[in-house]
Amino acid sequence: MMQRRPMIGLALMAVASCIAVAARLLVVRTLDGSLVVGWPGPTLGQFRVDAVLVACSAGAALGASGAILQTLLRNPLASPFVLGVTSGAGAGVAFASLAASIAGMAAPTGAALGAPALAGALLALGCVLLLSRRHGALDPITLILGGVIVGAIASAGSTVAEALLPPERRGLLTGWLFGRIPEVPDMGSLAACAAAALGLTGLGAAWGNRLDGAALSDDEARSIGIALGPMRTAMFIGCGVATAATVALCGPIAFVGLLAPHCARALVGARNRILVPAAAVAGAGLLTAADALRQWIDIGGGRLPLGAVTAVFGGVAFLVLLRRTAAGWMA
Amino acid sequence: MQPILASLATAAALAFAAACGRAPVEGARTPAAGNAARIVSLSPALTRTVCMLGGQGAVVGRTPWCEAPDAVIVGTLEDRNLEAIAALHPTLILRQSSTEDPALETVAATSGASVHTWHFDRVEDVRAGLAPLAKLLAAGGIPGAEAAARDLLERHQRAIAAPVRTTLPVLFLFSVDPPMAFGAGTYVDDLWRTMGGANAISKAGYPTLTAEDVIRLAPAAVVVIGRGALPSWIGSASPVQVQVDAPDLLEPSARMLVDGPASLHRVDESIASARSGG
Amino acid sequence: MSALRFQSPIIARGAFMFAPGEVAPSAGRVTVLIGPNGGGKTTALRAAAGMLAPEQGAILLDGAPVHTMPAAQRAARMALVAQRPEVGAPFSVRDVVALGRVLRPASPERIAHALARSGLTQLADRPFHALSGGQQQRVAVARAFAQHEPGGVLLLDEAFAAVDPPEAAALVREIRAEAAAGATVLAATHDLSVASALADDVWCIAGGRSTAFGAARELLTRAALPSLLGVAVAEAHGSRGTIAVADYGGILPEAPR
Repeated sequence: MMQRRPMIGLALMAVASCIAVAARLLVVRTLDGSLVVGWPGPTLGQFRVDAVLVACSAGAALGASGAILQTLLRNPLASPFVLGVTSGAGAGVAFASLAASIAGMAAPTGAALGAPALAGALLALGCVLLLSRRHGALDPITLILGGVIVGAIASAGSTVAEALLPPERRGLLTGWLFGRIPEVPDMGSLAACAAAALGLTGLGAAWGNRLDGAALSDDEARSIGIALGPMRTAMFIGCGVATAATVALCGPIAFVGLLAPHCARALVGARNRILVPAAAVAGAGLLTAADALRQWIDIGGGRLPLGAVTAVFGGVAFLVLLRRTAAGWMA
Repeated sequence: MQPILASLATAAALAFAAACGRAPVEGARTPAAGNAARIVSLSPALTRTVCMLGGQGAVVGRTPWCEAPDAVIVGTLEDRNLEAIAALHPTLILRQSSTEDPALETVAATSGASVHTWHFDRVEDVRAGLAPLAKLLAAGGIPGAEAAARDLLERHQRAIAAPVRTTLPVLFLFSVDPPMAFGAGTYVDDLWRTMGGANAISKAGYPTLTAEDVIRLAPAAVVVIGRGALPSWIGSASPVQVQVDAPDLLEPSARMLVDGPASLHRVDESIASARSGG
Repeated sequence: MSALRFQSPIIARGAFMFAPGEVAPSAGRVTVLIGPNGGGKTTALRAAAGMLAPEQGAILLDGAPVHTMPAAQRAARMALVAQRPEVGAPFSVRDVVALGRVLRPASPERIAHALARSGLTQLADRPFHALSGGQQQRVAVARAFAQHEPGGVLLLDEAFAAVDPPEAAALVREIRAEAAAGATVLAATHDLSVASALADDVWCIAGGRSTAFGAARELLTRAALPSLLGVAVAEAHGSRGTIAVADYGGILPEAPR
C-alpha cells in the first residue's frame, strides 16, 4: 500500500508531462494567427522535436536540482534560481561575452558557454554556502537571504557587462539573458544538459535514502550513518553542473526549479528515491508546457519571452501550492 | 522701529530675488556668446543626422553609442544625467522618443535651451524631420545645414528611384537568436517596398519569431543585417541567404536615407546572383 | 557489547573547555548526565557521538576513536537523539522513524515495533510537522530505537524534556529495557524525577569538568545533589526506592561549590 501510492503519482506526473510534450509537438499558432494542429513534416517537425528535447533536458535538470537542494538545505524555498546559481551562471556568460569583446574575439556561443556558466554557477553557490555557515551549520534564513543577494549582485553584474558591450554585440546577450528554448540547439550543449539531467536524477534516486537522512539535523544525520560532508559536496557540485548546463543551453530560467519539486511532492510524497525522478519529470513537463504556451500566445510583438511565461505562471502556481500545503516543514 | 524693520525686509527680499536671478542670467549668457549652437543629443540616429548636416562641431553631449568622440557622454534617453546636461549649457537638446521628459524640459529652461523630440520609425518620419532639424542648426550658426538637408533629400530620392530586381517576398532579420524581423511600417520595409520589393512579414513592427515561423514564411530570400555567424537552420528556410554588414540599415538616420538604398541594392544583387547561380 | 570510554578528552569551544577526565559509562546500565545549563552535558553527548574532535585525549568506542570512525560503521553501534528534533522535509512519522535504518536493511515489522515502543502506532501516518513538541521528541526516540542494535550505545540529549508524564514513563521503561538487554545508555536530563526513574549511574558535569560519577542511589540524594546542582532537594519513595525531587521552595543547606 505504502509503495503503490507514490508510483501512481509518478505515473500521473509522467502522463501530464507527455501531454505537454504532445501539445508542443502538435499545436502551434502561425504568424497569421491561426492555430495549426498536426505534425508538420520532417523539417519543421525536427525543430519541434529539438525544442522538446531542450525543454525536457533543461526542465529535468532544474527539477532534480531543486528537489535535491530543497532536501539538502532543509528549505522549501531552495532552488537553483533562489540560491543565485542561475544568475551566477548567467553572469559568467555575460562576463565571458564582455571579455571576448575586449579581446576582439567572436562572442561565445553554443558549447563555449559551458565553461563560463559553470564557473559562475559554482562561484555563486560557493559564496552563498560560505555566507550562510553559522557555527559549522547551514542557517536556512541566511541561506535564502544570501542566495537572493548573490543572485541580485550576479544579475547586476550581467547588466553591467551588457551595458559595456558595444551595441552590435549587446542584442545577442540580451536575448540570451531573457532565457529561451532554442529550436535549433547546439548539439554539444544539449547532450551535456541531457547527460547532467540524467546523471543528477540517477544520483539523487540512488542516494535517495541518504538524502532523506540529510533532512535531520546535522548531528542526527551523521549519527544515522550519513557522511554528510562528502554527500553535500557531491550533490552541490552536481546541482551546480546541472544548472550551468541548463544556463549554457537556454539562458537563465526562473521558477521551474522551485515549482517542480513542490508539484512532485504533492503527488509522490517526500521520499527522495522517488521525489527526485518525479521532480525531474515535473520540471521537464513544466518547461515544455511553458514553451508550448509561448507558441500559442501572440501579444502583438511576436512570441512571448519564455522567462515571462515561467515567472508569471510558475509564480502564481507556486503561490497556490504555498497556500494549500502551507509549507510548514521549514525548520 | 517699524520702518527700519520694513526696509530691512525689503533689502533681504531684494537680495534674495537677485540671488535667485543670477543662475539663469549667467546660464543664458554663456551660449549667447557668439550665438553658437551647443547640442546635446540623446539619440545616436539624431547625432549622426546632425553630423551629416554639418553640425559635428556643435555636438557637446551624447550617448555612449553616438559617433561624436569630442562630445561628453551624458547618459542615454532613459538614463540621462540632468546635472551633466545642465553643466554643458546646451542650446539644443535632441531626443528620439514617443513621450515627453518634463525633468529635462526644466533643466533646459534653466539654461535657456530648447528640447526637440522626434520619433523616427518610418522613412517618412526621417525625411520630414530633416528640414526642421536643419533650420534649428542654421539658427545656431551652422549656415550650410539647410542646403545640406536639401542635398541629402535629393540624394535619397535618386537612390530609391532605381528599382530592385527581387519582387518575391524577402525576410529581413536584424537578429537570428531569437529571429527578430523588420515588419510592416518599419523604415527597412518602407525603403524596400518603395524600391519595388516585397516584405515577407505583413505584421507591423519588429516581431520576435521562432525558427518554425521563419520556415513557414518560406521567403524567397532571408536577409540578415549585421555581423556574426549565421545559424545553419536558416538554410532550411530559404535557398537564398544573404548577410549584409550595413550599419546604415540598423538606425533610422539620414545615413539610412542616403546609404540604406545602396545597401539594399547590394542585397538585391546578391539575391539575384544567388538565384541565377542556384 | 560496546564499550564507550572518555579517555581524558579535551575539547575547546571558544571560552568553554570540555575536559571531563577519565569516564567510562558501563554497558548494561543507564548513566544519567546531570549538571547546570551550559556545563557540558550536550558537549559530552556530541563528543560521545563522534561529532567533535578532541584536541587531546580521545573518546573510544570499543577501543577506536569514535570521531574518526566511518559514519556508517558508527551508526550500526550508536544512536543519538539530539536536543531538538529537526526534520527538514514533509515526512510522515513512519518515514522519520525509518530513517534510523536508512543505510541498513529495515523490515516494516522492525519499524512498526519501534513505533509501538514509543506509543506512536496511532500517529504513524501523520505528518511529522503536525505533531506537538513532545510527540516529535517521541518520534526521535523511536527513530533511535529503530537504529539501535542490542548491545549498542544510546545517547539521549534531554530526549523527553517536552514529553507528558505517562508517555515519559513508558519511554523510561523501554530505555531501561534496552540497558537490561546490554545497551550502554548515556542520557542527559535536567529533570530529577526522570533521572531518578532512569539512572543506574549518575555523571555530573559542571564547567566542562566531571564533578561526580557514581551510583545513582548515592548521588541522587538530598545529601549529594544540592552541592552538585545548586538546588534544594526533597526525597520520596518510588518504585525504584528513594527518588530525588527538586524542591524549588527549599533552602540550600550550604552555598554551592
